[in-house]
Amino acid sequence: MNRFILIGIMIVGLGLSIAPAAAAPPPVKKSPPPALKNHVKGKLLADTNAIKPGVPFNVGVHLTIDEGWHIYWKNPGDSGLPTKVKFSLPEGFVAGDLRYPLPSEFDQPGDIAGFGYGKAVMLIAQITPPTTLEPAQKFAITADVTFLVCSDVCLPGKAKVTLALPIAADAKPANVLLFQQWMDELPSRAESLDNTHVSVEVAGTLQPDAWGPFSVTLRSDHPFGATQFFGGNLDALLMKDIQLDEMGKEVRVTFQARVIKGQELKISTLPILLTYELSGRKRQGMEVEIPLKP
Amino acid sequence: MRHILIALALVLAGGIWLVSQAGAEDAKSSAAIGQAAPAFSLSDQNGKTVSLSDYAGKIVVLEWFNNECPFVVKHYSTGHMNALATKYSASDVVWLAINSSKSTTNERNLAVAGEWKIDRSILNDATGEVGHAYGAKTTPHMYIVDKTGKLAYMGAIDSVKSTEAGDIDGAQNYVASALDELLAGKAVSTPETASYGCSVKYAR
Repeated sequence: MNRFILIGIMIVGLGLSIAPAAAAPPPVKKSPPPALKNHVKGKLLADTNAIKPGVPFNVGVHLTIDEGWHIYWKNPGDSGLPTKVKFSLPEGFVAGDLRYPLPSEFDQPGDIAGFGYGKAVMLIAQITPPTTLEPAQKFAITADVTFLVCSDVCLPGKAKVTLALPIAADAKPANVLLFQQWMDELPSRAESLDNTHVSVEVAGTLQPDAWGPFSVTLRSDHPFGATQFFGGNLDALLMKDIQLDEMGKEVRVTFQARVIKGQELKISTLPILLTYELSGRKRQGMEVEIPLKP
Repeated sequence: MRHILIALALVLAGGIWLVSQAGAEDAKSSAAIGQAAPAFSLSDQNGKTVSLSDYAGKIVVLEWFNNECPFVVKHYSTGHMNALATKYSASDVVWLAINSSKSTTNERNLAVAGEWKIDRSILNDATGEVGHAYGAKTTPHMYIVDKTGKLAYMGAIDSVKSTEAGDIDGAQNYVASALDELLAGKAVSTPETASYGCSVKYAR
């Protein structure tokens, strides 16, 4: 009886070895989405219910994305388009840099890097009002959002969202938990003074007309886990051979970069992001601006 | 009998190894500027087999294509891509579209060719093998093979990464520039750029 079992296994083995590496049957194709549906809903929120002259406050562009779809981070990766926000502000108001919460990496076949958000994201900017304001008005802030929303197909999209706030001496916090949730998802910045938990070391120089090596090393008192790298081609800069090494209390990313031959670089620093869990704690991120000009 | 069992055991081991390779990482792309362009042989929308070797000695443009991608629609809705291919065909440049989407078929490519008035081959690369050999990441993703069969350009079609048709006229068309230089016997001054578009919808 043993002999027949053995022969049976051999025949199965023979069958496996001569069968072509068959692709899985194609998944059931989702019907294409209705042509006009946006798949992204937006609203503009502030962390205060009123403005005080000269006192900065935060606004959040909150986007909810239909299940199965995603939008992109400020660097979308190898494909897609960044989600961008253009603020229209009343006279004298100034908006700071738009801050993007930690993105996810999309699982795309073919080794194609994609960075962004599914389900929801709130992009945050600090708004500083002027020190003198006419008290009688309400102030309107508008955010024009542009994005590419993709599932099996990609659709370019826009959303225009507005918020109106009065002036009040007794302005109170608003949307507290929502801002807490999303501010918690913002990366630290390497050069900011309150970054004490992770040290950052950057090496590499941009060679004229050739690929040059770069490295970014993070060190901490705690071990790094689940480290991810977010970054890639930007402006006239090409990147290749990106390698990430997680080594206990140290993490290093190395890559080659060069200026596109025949093009001029407009950016003077290259922003990259490393996300990680220190000692298995909640995911955090460190944004590093790599100097590009000597 | 023992010899047969040993032989079958080796076949079994070989079979297990082959099956494990099927799920393994695809070979890294072999496409590089100045190196021989990877060979291929694919069916076009009319069922005709088209090979890169058919065009030895000619300049060949490869255009990664997916009619469901807004970046591709941008270049076709304006008639821009067709006009470019037609213009350079007068200088004997061969222009091939390649569709590496997992759901592409000759039938679908034939229908699109009719609707979009594409009078050149759209090659069916549903397995993604040729896309992976070239490292194609987006649609569009453009490659130019020079007359000696080497890659002379890889990257974006033009300099403005958007889905807006209005951006085409003001953009620098890297493919046109490279073709003009090659046809004049000059070196390509910008041989490599970062492509933009939708991700290629690979099977794996």
